[in-house]
Amino acid sequence: MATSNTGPKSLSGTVSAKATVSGTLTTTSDWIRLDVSHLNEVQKEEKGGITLESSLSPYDVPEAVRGHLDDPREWFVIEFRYITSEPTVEVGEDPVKILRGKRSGRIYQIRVRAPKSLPSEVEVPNMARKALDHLKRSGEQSFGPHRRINIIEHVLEEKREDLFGASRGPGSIREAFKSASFETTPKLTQAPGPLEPQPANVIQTTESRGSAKSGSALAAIDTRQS
Amino acid sequence: MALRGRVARRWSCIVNVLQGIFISAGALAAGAINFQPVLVAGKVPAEWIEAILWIKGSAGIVVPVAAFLTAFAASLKKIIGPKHIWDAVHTLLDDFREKAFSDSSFPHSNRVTLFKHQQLCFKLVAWKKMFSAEKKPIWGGWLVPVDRSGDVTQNPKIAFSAPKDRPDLAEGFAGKIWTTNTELFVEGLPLLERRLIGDPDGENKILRYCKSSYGSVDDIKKRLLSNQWCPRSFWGIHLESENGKVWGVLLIDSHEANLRNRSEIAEQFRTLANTFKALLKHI
Repeated sequence: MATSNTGPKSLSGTVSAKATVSGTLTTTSDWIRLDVSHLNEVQKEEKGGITLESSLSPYDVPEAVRGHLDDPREWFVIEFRYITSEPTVEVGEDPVKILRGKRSGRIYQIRVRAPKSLPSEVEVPNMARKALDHLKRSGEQSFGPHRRINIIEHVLEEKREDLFGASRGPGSIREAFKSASFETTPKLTQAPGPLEPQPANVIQTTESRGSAKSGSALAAIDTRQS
Repeated sequence: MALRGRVARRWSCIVNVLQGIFISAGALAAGAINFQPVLVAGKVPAEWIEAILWIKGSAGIVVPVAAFLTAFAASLKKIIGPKHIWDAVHTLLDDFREKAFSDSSFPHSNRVTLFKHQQLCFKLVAWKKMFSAEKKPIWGGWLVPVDRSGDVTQNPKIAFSAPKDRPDLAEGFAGKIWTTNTELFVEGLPLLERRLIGDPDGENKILRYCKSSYGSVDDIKKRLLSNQWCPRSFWGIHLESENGKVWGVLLIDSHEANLRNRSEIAEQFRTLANTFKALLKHI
């Protein structure tokens, strides 16, 4: 399952199938498939001539990532999809918040408030990285293997261009934030309202499984915001 | 003690039938309490009336006993879990084994075992460990085998101590996986045989085996003395049920020194993780 057939969408164009499930307006909303075996580095330990290999559990390695603007378009959301989902808790403070699994501590979302000064495609990843650094150092928030945070950092670096790059054109983070800053009323020619019920055929995309997962996390945010 | 999954698959029907019998007996006895022979005299055979009167006489015992046994059967059903879920879990384990050892024809020596973490363990091995020098209480948290692929070696006499408050004391390869929540793999473990016990080189081999597989020397020697084979490779992973809760451990053990397709096993697990999650919440 790579990206869906919808392709990158512009803010003034339409809303992606996945976004409609969770009622969220997106920009680079297509899931980017990650190479799990490449991410999950095996650690080897020699014990009496016998090699013991350990790696992060498949539960802990994200299999896809995507970036999109949250509905009020104040936050850029970097979302990670795992093989299973769970309830999340929010850690961190404005301008960067992290949604972690309540039990596992896995990072499901990094939410970065729209920066005002520097170019977004530079500032957003920097802010995310700083928040992750802080998470590693923080005793209270750093439960679970640090290798998981390292993987998230690696993904952000490796998929930087896909997630934040200006090369994405109208779907890029810079364009998205520009629109967010200057357009008080978005030009959504065909876009339904955020909570408008969707026809079944819209939800039946190749990404429906991931959408359902992300929906639960986003629903948690929506609840808090309301 | 047989595996819980096996018990559920084999005895669920019998427990259902017994529960039905208990309910019927209780209902019959309760109905007979108000029986008045004069109302039916001459209408039904005398033998029937005698039988009903006998039931009426014993209703004082039969009704409470039947109620107790019905409740007991219901609890038993709840403890062992639904048969159809266990059937599905067993099929899943068999499929997983098939994919992990596609080129192997020895199901008894290439096994996939499902361990559930539970606070209480009534297995004999747990009692023994409680009263031995190890002093591991049966209420301290244990990884108990509940189902295993295939149809052989279905009565494992093992359970690994895995206390939640002292994870460093967790036993065995399964215990290590449960503690670290990682995917662990070891292969090329020495081939152990009974004759190695007592021999200096042999003892060294046993020690190396135990260090690499997180086993206890005593347990391994007991296995050897009872002519049980010791796996030469392990692969394992923790299992999560609903809401990210760690449910237990899935462990592959093999008498083969090398698990050739280890990365495929992990990939295979990724595809089955959600199915496991959906099933495990019921058992």
